Amino acid sequence: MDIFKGIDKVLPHLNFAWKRHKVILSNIANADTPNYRAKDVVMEEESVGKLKITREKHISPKSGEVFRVIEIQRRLVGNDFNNVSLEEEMAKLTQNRIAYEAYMRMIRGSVDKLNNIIKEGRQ
Amino acid sequence: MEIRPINLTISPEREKIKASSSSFLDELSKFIHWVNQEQQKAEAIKDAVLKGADIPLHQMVVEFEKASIALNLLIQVRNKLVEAFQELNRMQV
Repeated sequence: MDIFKGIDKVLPHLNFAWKRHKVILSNIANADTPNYRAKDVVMEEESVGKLKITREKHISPKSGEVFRVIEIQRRLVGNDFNNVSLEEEMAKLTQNRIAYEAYMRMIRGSVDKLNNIIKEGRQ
Repeated sequence: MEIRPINLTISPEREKIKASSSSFLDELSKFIHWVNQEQQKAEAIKDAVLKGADIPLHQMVVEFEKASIALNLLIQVRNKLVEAFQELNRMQV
């Protein structure tokens, strides 16, 4: 049944926002940890950079994982070799939360639409 | 004068369509199985969340909504079928 096509289209984005939230939280939690490097999550592009499997011995990409965690290399490193910028992480957190809420609203829209159709517009 | 009979044989294309399409009962039971699967998925997620598993909030919400939509759809289909049956039942022969 693919009546949930509209919902399933948004789900990877929600998973991405969820994962990114966790990573940002761990950055904030480790703001004072020596030798800690700030991390971030990036979306894996669908077609670009993905290698085709042409032989049996090729490693297959992790199924379902369309994003991966990266370490942020740049930025000023303090005496304790920690490069977390608390302000930047806070800004990212807010941005990410707004994105998450927007995706949730999309899901709600699809769900309401389906329910409306099923009830034939009646209340 | 020869009168040609109308060719009554069904064209092979129509035969093919007839053979490939499943019956209404098959479709209905497939649909009910699907609704049941959605309910069980939602129930499994609920169990996992109550046990304290690390399941994303949105996944729970989406599975619950899917299950409820599927059930609503099934109820509506049932109502339509009962309506159709009663209409046939009342029909004067």
